[in-house]
Amino acid sequence: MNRQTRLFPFFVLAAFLFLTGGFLRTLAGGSAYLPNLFFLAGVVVLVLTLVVAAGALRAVLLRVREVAEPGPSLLWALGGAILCVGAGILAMEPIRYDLTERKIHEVSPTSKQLLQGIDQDVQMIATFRDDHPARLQVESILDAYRAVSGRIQTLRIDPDREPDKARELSIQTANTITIRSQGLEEIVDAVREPDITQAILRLVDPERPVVGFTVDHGEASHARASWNKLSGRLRDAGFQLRQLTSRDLTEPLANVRIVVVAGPTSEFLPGEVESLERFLGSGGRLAAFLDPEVETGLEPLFAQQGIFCDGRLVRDDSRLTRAVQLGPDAVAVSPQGLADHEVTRLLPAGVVLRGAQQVGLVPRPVFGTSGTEILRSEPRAKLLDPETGEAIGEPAARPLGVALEWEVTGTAEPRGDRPAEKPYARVVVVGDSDFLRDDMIDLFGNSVFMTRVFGWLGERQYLIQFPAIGPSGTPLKVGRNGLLAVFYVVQVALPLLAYGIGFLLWTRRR
Amino acid sequence: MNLGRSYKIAVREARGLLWSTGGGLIVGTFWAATGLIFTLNLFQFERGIRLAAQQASKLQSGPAGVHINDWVVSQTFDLTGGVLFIFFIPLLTMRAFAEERRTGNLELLMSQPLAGSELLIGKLAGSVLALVSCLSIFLVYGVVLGIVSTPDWTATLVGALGLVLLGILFTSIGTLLSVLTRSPIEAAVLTLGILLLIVTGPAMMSNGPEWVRGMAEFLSVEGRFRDFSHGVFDLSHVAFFLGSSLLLWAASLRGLDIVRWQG
Repeated sequence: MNRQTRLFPFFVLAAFLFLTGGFLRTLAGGSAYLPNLFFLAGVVVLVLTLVVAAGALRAVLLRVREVAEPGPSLLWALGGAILCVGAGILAMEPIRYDLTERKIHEVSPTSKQLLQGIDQDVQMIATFRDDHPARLQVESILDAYRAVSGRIQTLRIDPDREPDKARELSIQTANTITIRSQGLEEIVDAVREPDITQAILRLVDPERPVVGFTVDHGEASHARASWNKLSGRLRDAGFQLRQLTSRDLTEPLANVRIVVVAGPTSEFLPGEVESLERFLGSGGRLAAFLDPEVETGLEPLFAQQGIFCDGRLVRDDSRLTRAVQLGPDAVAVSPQGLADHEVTRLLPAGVVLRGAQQVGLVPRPVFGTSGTEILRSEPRAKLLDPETGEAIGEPAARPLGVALEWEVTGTAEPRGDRPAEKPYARVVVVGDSDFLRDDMIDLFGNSVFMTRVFGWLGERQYLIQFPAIGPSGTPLKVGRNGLLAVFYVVQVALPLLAYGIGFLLWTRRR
Repeated sequence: MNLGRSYKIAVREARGLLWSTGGGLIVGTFWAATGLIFTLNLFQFERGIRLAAQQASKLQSGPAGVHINDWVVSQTFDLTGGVLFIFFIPLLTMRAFAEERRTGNLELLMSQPLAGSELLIGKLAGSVLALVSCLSIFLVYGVVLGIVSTPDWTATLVGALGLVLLGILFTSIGTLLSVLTRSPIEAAVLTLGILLLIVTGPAMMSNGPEWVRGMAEFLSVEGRFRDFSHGVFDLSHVAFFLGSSLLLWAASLRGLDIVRWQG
């Protein structure tokens, strides 16, 4: 036995060599020689130690079997082994509970609800190196998705360590999640739940509603350079984009789900307006982003449903608007100015417009319509006289956008296996189009607002519900002096108390 | 097995560990170290809140995502379990058997009408009791957390459960090594080395082949504990901590048989 005691330092030496090798490998990478030398040395020391100790160990174990007193050790060993095996099995089929109030370690109820019903197999392949800072987060999110639906298979590979596997799986890019289903593929380059869920939903539901952008009236089109971000995000959200020329508007818009009129600078012809009216009458959806001081010819169409477009520029010189520093024409809509509507509810931030007109609902709604003024300026906004450029009228909170729906006659056709969608026409009118441009779409809540508008119009529920407000914080209820008091109590007083008791005991014993 | 006798041994062991000059030093230093971690994290939290307030504008509708559980609770648990335990638990367990052997008291104990399992459970429970006494400072931290903010109590309790499970596992390792060695210093150094190996080893194995990584993940005590400290309750982790502790107890009991054979 003394021999075993003497052999302990060799076990420690072997452990030290393994640790150093591991440490060096972490620093230098898997291809370095020095760590392998350390590993080899560790193995040699361990094997030699075991060879030297083998005879003695065997003798000890045999002797122990002879002299061992009856006791629960076998029971404990069996219980421990069963629990360890159970831990291994449970690791494959995890039973985990996220007990945080914010549920930050599991997929949100929105994703769960949307993904639980998928009936196609989905493969998620995360391509992240072992030493990537986001590796743990990626693995955690893969686990969470796997737990949501049995249809989702997950895999993480290290492209540096497993290049053959990456090649076999046709993985082209690192630090991304490749999602595949039904022969289609999406690559998500941000480890964010909304992006992943939306990519899965796009794959399992290949239907792409068509969003048509009207052109020929000086509008902004998705094909223009300054609208790249808008078109990219709409495509990411699962829409197909196309242009609608004047000629297209004269024909029935059968394949178009949403018509977008963004910043026209000239009037629509009466025939085009009639075509849009028919489109809405058949349950179509229309998004109009109309700049001030421009006659579009669409005003009578909107007026029929109780929407008025004032045409005059809204001038908001409130402190909030000045703080965003986007010039005198900017109008900032604070969270208090957002209505309790599907489009604007729980928006993570307000919306900032530039050069907006007043767009609201008439006091007496048109029968059968249900509308909400979704954006409202700060209470000190005024209107600018187009002739003189003077601010006129009383300061007031001006409506800047509306969302309206109404039931239309007839029933829509069922699409594929799906039942017919509600025969509702929906319209969103916002008094500005500039906020959709590349230079403004990422400001504050603009992008999310835009996504929600199209989600509501296209009845894409996951676009409305994502992204939810981020993890909420907690307040600090004491000042710096309070924290200093905490410091003195827990860092000074309590340890000193323990030391004092120890000292007291020492003096007593002396 | 008479647990009454184990209880008496446990109380005697815990009192011997804590109600002494050395005990005062250990507890005081543990409290000072955890206090340092706790207050530093608290000041970081205050700084995080201040920065978030500066960056946020009135256009933001949600509160800034600075949560006391992320900034203080999880961090304090992580550092206590992943660092402080490695250094303090050897101090609590080193004397359990090695000191008795060194002074010759173990032979005396063995000659008493006392089963080895009773002795082992008593010694283990004594060490765990001493550890829990050291951890009692977390009750004060809990009160402080309640005063300074509104923590997520459920997640905090899950973290505390993880800390206790980790403490039991580490104490079991320390006790086994105390059984197998003749001097407390030897036991402490070996326990320190083994705990370091257990905590850092799996991370170092993550560059190995698939089966090694799988094993590293399974054995990753730190990874399992981190789930607890972040508010995740995983049955696999509970089974692992309890199962490996039981295996270590069984090994310790066999170790006592070796000691008995040696005389």
